[in-house]
Amino acid sequence: MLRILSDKMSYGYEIVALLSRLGPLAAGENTVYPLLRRLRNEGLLEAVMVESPKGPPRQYLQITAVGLEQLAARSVGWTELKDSVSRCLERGSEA
Amino acid sequence: MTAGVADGEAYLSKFGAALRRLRMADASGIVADVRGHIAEAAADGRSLEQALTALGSPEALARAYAVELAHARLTNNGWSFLTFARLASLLAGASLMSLLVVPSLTILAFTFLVTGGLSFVFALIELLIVDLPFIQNDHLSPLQALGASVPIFAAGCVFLWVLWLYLRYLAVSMRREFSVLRVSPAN
Repeated sequence: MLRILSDKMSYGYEIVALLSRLGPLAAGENTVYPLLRRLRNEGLLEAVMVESPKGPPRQYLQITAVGLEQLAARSVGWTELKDSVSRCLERGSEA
Repeated sequence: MTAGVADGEAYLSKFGAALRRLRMADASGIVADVRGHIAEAAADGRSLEQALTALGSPEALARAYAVELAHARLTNNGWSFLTFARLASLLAGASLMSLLVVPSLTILAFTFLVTGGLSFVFALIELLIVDLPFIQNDHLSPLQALGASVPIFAAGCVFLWVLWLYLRYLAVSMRREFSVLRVSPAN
C-alpha cells in the first residue's frame, strides 16, 4: 500500500482496483479500507480532498514523510526475506 | 429516493450503528469513506449489489475496522499506562460493585422466593386439607397468608430479574471494553 502511494497519490477505489491486478496480493475492499484508515491513524498517510470530474470532491491519500521512512525500512526487510526464501528454495539447507 | 439508494443508505446506517456499538472513534469519518467507495463503484458502472457484496456485511466490515485499528493502537502504544490504568480501574470498580450487588440481590431473591413459595404451599394446605399447628403465619388466616405469599414471591422474581440484568450488563460491558485485546495476528 505504501509502495503504491509512493508513486502518486490515489483514492480507495483506485487502490482496490490496482491491487486486484496483483494476483496473490489482491485484497478485498473489506481489507483495504480498514488498512488505509489504520495507516492514516499511524500518520503514514494523509488525506487530501481533490475536485472530481465525476461528482463530489474525492478524498485522495498521499504518503507522508514518516510513511516514506517506514516504506524504506520495510522494503529492506522484505527484500532480505525474499532473498532468504529464494536461497532456501534454490539450495535447501545449504542456503 | 430509489430502491438502490435506499439499500445503500440502509447498509451505511447499519454499518454506522455497528461501528458505534464497537465504540469506534470517528465512526462518521469511516462511514464517509465507505459511502465514497459505493459512489465510486456506481460511477464505475458496478451495481449497488455488487459493491455491497464486495464490502461484506455491515457487521463484518465494522469488525474488520475494529480489529485493524485495535492493532494500530497496540502497535503504536503497546500496553500504554493509560490503557492499563483504564482497564484496571474498570475491573476494580466492577469487582467492588459486584461484591455488593450480587450477594445482596442473590440473598433477597432467594429469601423472597422461598418465603413466598413456602407460604403459598402451607397456606394452601391449611386452607384445603388440614390445620398445621406448627406453622406460624403471624396471626394471618390461611386465606390472608395465601394472598400475601403471591406479592412476596413476585418480589423474589423481580430481584432475580434485576440480578440477571446486572450480570448481563456487566458481561456486555466487559466484553466491549476488553475487545481492544482481541487482535488479529495477521495483516
